[in-house]
Amino acid sequence: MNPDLERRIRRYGTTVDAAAEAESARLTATAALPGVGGPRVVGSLDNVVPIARRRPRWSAIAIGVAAAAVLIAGLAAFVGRGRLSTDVADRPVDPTAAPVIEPSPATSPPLDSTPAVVPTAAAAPVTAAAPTTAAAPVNGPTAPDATDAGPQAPAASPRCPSYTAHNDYHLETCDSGVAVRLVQERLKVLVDSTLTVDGYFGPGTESAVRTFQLDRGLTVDGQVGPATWRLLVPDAPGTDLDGSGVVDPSEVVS
Amino acid sequence: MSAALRLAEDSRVAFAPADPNPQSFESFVADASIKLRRALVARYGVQLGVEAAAEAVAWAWANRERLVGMTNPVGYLYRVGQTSVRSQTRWQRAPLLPAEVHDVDAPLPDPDLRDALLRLTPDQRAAVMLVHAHGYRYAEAADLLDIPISTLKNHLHRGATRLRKLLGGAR
Repeated sequence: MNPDLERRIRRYGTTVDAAAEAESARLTATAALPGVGGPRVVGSLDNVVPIARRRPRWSAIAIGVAAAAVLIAGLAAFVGRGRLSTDVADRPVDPTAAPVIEPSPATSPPLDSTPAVVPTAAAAPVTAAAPTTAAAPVNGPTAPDATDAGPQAPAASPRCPSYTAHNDYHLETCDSGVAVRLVQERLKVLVDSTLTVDGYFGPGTESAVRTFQLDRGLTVDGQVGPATWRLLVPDAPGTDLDGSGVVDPSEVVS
Repeated sequence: MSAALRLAEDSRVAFAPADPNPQSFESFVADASIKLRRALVARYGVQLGVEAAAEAVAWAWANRERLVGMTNPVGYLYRVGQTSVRSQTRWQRAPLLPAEVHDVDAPLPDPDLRDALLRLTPDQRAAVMLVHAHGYRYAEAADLLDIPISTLKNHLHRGATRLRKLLGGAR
């Protein structure tokens, strides 16, 4: 490894250690609060099996089969109705485009964990049963950005069966709107350049919000409340009508 | 494996197996908890990693007799940490790592090292961070991750290549 990179990584090691130390202190502090549970019952960690000898557990197989069945049923409904989603009105429908799923910035394919059953089961029905749509794996790490031509509604994902237009605190996963779009624009610049700015708050956006909160020392909850909004979007376009000192999500003009 | 080699391997362990001396177990746990935290944070990010390391250490104290008999107790604890993460997270959450810290007057390297590390596979990231960020020897890192040294070298090589590619011409 070249020495400059080596130096950079070594320095980063110190940064990570510091962050871990801070998180550890925070964890100890919250655990000491009355009412907060102590360490969870750790007896349940007894069945740790080394990878070489691991066998799939029946519960995991059952979950995989159930998830595959749900997906197939969902796909049948999709094919039958020719619409990408059901609840939100005025959603532009373009059945020939690939279903756009919010790409998580760093979703790695689960290598050795049993949930691997779900993504591979998901990939198969999508590619087999939807010949007119591009074969985009539903939870794959490389959801195609190229086909996202405009503000198309992401297809219903397991996390968000539908997106609700919401322009007020707190902005969270499964919301949509101009405020979300503004948040995404800022996150794209400050945190993750691979984020899709489409106005739909999905897992990728939540992840970026969490990273932002971690970096700035805010409470990491994946939601954009007043504190996060203030640091992320201090100069939103619009008028401060309620005198809060900042243009709130509800006051943003697109 | 010959007895002599096995003895040499065992001497890497901070306390001799089958010697549940409280003092040496304590120092073992103290040493292991730092290693575990670094490894689990590298793999799962700060939040999940720190929590998992705490769980693994708690488990260690609750199961010290079992650990005392093992050849690679720290590797086993790493797996305990992994089990803890998996049993909690229903939905795979992207790991959270802190942003890279830069000198105030130096130009910002672009792209960010943190983003590049998040683009490695978890195994590659853990290997690269343990060896290059935290300075563990190959043998130590391989024990900690409970993988053979050849596998570790694989992860290191691929991870480093990918990092070089992602960070491009930037220093």
